[in-house]
Amino acid sequence: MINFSNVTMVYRSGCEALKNVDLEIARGEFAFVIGPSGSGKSTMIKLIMKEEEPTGGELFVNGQDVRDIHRYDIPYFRRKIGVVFQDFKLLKNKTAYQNVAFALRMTNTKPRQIRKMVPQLLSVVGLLGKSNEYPTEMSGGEQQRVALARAIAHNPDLLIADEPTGNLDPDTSLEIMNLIYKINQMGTTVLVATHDKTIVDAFRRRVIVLHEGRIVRDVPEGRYGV
Amino acid sequence: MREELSGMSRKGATGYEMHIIGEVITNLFKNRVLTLTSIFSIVVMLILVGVFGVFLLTLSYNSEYMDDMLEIRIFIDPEADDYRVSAVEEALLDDGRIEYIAYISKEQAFENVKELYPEEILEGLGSDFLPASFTVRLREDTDAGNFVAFAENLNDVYRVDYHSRSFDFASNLSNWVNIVAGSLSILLGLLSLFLVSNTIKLTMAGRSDEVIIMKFIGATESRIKMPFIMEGITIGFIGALIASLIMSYGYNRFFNWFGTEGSGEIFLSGLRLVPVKESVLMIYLVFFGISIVLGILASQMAIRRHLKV
Repeated sequence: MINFSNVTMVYRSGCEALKNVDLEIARGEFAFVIGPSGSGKSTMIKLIMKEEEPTGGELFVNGQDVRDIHRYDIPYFRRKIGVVFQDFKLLKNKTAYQNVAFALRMTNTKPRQIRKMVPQLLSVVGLLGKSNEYPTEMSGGEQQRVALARAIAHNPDLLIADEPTGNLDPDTSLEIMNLIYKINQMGTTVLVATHDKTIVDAFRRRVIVLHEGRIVRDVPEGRYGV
Repeated sequence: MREELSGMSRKGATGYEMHIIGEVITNLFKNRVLTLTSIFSIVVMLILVGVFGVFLLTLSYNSEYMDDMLEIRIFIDPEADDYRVSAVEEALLDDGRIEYIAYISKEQAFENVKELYPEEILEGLGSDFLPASFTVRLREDTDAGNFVAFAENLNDVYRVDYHSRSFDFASNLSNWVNIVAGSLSILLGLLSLFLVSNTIKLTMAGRSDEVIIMKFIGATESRIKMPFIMEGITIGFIGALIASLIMSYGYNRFFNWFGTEGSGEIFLSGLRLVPVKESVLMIYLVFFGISIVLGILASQMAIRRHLKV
């Protein structure tokens, strides 16, 4: 699913964000990427999303060399990747229903299909009863659920969660992670970038540790500190 | 659910375009001060273009009249008989500078005058009171001064008319109008471009979150940019509509005034105005063309500088 082969990323400022990274994440796998600020987690996500291009090495996502993706094909490439963020990035002037529908409308989904799919997606994340509420009327956990529903709207092959529990309390964090795990069980490859020791230890999944742009540890059923 | 989730296609309208129109109007209203300023600058620019454009159009419409100004009229002594008239014609032809020459007899001259004045003014008059004349066009207009002097010295020629000064004046005026109007229009056009671009930049700043989301969910570049381009077009369209209404109303009033009081003025006599319908159509076409192009350019400027897709 994701294949980093000796990937290096040096920004224009000269900052070497990733150094000779070799990493393979199989289809359907669930993996944590952990590391301190500046370790390269965000850069890794940007490269996978084709927001940046590696300065060295090769990166394949879903069988495609990201360097070969033409500018006009980037949107279609990104539709196969769902993303959730720490700050949810919901549209405050739209309800839960409208936020999820927005993602579908942007990608030419027919209105009739949108009306069918959105309730299903909200059901998956357990928020069907809150369809008409605005983000400001929801808790952090609920907002992140809406964001998840939006992220999986396109049936992505890969779900990237960038600090999904960063703004949530421990109980809510666990709920969200369970939801993400449920999505993984449905066949979606999941990559979670996080500082959250609790959830990493709770789930005992593959843990990839980054430090100063390099992978220093990669264990199949890891914990945060060990 | 997996099978049902694959409802995407690369083509097809989903009503998003209609949704954009509502969002565009909302955003323009949110930044209404800047929106109104942008529209105002477009209106001023277009009216300036329109006023000078109508002036140039009128000159062009009267090009036949302008051409007449280049003709030299040589009036023959009313006492001269046919033999003496022929002698004058021969002398003129022998000069060699003439491209064509046409003789207007006293009778023909009288008929021409009858078309210009009411019957009661000419009652009791015959064709004898008018002189015969020759209308001459030269091969080279630059020879006109010398030729006029030559013709004035011929026997039985009592007057030579040449409106070169009027033509030169009109020609110079037209050139100056082109320069002044062109420069002012370009300046105002650039100002409008700047103002419209800033209005759109403000909208983009207010929708930066939405743009980020659209990027990550896989909206195409055109989908992301479309609302901002539509905004530019809308501002241009409104500006053109207001300017067109003002210009067409103004021209209609001027045309009516010209038909009553205006044509009595000496310097306007003989001049014809472009008919209202023709002018108004031209005004609408040019105004909408310019302003929509300006709107698109302004939005592209804002997008290129401030929207990373």
